[in-house]
Amino acid sequence: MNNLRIVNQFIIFISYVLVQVLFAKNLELFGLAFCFIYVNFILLFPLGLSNQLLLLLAFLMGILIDVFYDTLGMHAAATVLIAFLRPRIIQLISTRQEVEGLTMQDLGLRWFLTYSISLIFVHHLYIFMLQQFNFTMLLRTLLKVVASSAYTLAIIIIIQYLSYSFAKEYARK
Amino acid sequence: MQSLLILIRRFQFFLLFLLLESLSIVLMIRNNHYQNATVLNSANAYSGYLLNVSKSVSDYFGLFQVNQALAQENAVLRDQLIQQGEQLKRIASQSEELDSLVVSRYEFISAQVINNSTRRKRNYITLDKGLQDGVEPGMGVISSQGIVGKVKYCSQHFSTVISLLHSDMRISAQLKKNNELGTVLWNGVRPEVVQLHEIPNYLEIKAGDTILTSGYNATFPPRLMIGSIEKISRSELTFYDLDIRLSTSFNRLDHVYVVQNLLKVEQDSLETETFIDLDE
Repeated sequence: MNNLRIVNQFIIFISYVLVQVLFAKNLELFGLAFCFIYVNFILLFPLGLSNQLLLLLAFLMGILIDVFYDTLGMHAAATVLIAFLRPRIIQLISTRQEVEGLTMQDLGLRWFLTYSISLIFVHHLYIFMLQQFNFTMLLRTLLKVVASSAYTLAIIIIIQYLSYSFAKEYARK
Repeated sequence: MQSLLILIRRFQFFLLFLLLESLSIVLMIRNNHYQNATVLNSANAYSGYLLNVSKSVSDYFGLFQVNQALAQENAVLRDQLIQQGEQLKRIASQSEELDSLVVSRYEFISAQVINNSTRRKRNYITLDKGLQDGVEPGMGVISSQGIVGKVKYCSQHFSTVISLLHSDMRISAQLKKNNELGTVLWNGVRPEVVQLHEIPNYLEIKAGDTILTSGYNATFPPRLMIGSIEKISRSELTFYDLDIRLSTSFNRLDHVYVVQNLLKVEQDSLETETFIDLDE
């Protein structure tokens, strides 16, 4: 059963990489907002699987994305960081409410937003800071971080809604 | 030792994180310093391939426009080529003045083959250009590989062409080697091979010799490729029977050019007048 889930995650992993480098890479808005949809893989990684595995997959995914963005190490660093922070945030949430899954339906809108915004924001902040590597133009960098986070979040929510209604449709049949 | 192992097990997750994170940072910094000296750069061959595939898919949607633009450009270039060829010839023959009429004698209209047959005895081709585009009956049609045929009828937007593969289509041709004149006529057997007649058999020729248009007609520009000799036989007493392998592959005809001889009317009427004069 666990093996099947891992294989499943592997397929999802590949599709996120492909979607990111073939599609989302072109979805840049005004040179300000960038879409890093692949973060969704880290966000929605099933709870039951090991965190070490997630860390490794995050690293692998970051490297793959980097290869296409020609920024070797940058995305990997950010993605590994949020994969590391993820269990901590989940722990934090679980002190307030029972955590059974990580989708919007499981967490409720409020906690889902808290969970995903914090991770997305950290990820984007880290990436853009690494990209800049100094504190000049700090304001513009922050603007980029905020715009890109909002952008990525919006797309992640859309995907959630789509997959939710799709799953419902599927369940009905 | 035991306690160290316990410590490692306890902080396994954190240590793995540290390891991967520092690995990423090291990679990044190294990459910034020596852009080309990184291990993973060879992976760019694969990513480049993937991006190329993605690009070629998106390019595919613009193919039609690109094709048209290229065909148009080809027509213009071909035009220039002929003009320059004529210019060169003139200069080479050291004529005093450049005859501007000869220089711009031919124009080319690019067209697309929309119907084509090679299996009948009398084959016709249909083009997607007609009167409105300047195509008129009697004009020659060539492809980038060689000659194709002659326009027969035109409507506003289409024209039909008598293919070279037509048992009544005669084209004046010459041997590239010694400019000996002959007539190309198809015997209706194989669509890759036509026959060349009226080459006297005292001439020395061999398989592979090139056959060009002669320019003794107003339809085609002179010295255009027709094909090369494939088989030589001597059934008649005075002439060779030559099989010519066509340079144009009629089965795969796509883009062609209609040759507009701007002085054809002048040349034809002058010639007819001459004949009438002689008859009288």
